[in-house]
Amino acid sequence: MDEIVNIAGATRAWLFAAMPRGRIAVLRTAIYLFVVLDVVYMRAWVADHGTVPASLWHPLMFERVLYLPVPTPGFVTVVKVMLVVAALAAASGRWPRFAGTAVFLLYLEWQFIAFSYGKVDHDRFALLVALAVLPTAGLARWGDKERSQAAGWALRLIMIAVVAVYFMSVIAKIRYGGLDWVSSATAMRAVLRRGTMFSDPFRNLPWVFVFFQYVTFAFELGSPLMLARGRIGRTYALIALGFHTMNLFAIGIMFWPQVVCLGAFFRLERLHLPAGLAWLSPRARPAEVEPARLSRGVRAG
Amino acid sequence: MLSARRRRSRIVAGGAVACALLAGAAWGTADEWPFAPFSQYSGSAQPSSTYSSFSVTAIDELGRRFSLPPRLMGLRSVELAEQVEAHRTALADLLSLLRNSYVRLHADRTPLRRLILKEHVVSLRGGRLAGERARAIAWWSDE
Repeated sequence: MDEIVNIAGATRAWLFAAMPRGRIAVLRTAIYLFVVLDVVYMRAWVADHGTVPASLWHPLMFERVLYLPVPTPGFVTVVKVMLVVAALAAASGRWPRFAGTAVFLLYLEWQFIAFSYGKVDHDRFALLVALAVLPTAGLARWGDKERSQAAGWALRLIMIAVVAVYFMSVIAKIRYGGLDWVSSATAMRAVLRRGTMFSDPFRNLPWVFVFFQYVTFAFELGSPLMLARGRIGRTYALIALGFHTMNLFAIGIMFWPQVVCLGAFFRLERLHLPAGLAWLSPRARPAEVEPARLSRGVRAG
Repeated sequence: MLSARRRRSRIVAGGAVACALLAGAAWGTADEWPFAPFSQYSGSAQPSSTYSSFSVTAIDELGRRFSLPPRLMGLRSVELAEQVEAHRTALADLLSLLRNSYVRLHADRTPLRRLILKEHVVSLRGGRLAGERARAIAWWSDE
């Protein structure tokens, strides 16, 4: 019984270990600016779904439950404009709760619009979790070394979500492909469809892709190591960046939301805004600053 | 410091999301997104097998024939494939809907007179590309 209590206590301490607000500030800027880039440029095709006839719209379960409307050109434009405005406001670090919550809800709707025509992508999960928890972390300023539990919890949840994407991917591979997945022609098929100048020369060497699948499987299975403290976790996060870069070269796909969220694992609090831009970052109100001695109990990151 | 109440509410919310995610991974389908299984590239393509992709060829009022990327009809390639599977028994109707989508997106372009849906079948043998063939599987015409 004591052991269970100890495990629960250690888990709670780990989840709420105080972390620097400065990391939240940098991550907030990066994530909200990414949302703008994603909506306006990287996945601008989502807006085109407004022109697709309603009979090709297959609403997902939550859209049906929440009675979300059929995307039309007007509706999609309104969501897009509101989302960009809210994301720019949130990227400034001001009104984190209000602007951040608006971005989360609007981006969720934006993804429903994107995924209701036959294809659901799973690379958005960590980003959605980040958008859900960032509003709870309070005001934060670039370079702020002060630690807080609210920042720690938000960062921890983003880290867990990043790891969940990798680990749940390996679960899905076992569920749908079985253990045979590692020796299948899945990667070869991906290269035949979306090959690049880097991967096309290997089309006649199937063993290269089988090896790549073993590496992918092992990487995803070992992804919880990313949550280990200190150098081990950060090294695994670097390996993840390498993994995504390899995918980019092989099939031209970069899981950008996942890559942006990987920032939670690094010491972003060391970054400072250039002197001329310091006014952009808000100051934490005195009442929100926790005395360092209170948050020294458990340290992380 | 977060109060005990705030810590508790965060634990409950995080736990609920984790449970939904685990349930989705174990038993869910894409329909339950964002708690859907993470199934991209999770299928096990056999080293000796075939797979299909689809393309659309258009002929406009000037008689010009050109390939029409799904993006110009408001869809991604993979969404076109899913829509083809969902409309297997009414592919001409699907092409008519796609033509409407094209008109809405590109009202300034020369109107289309005919659309042809092609299926491209790729064969693998021993994990290597063994052959490709394409055939028209549906037509739409404004006549």
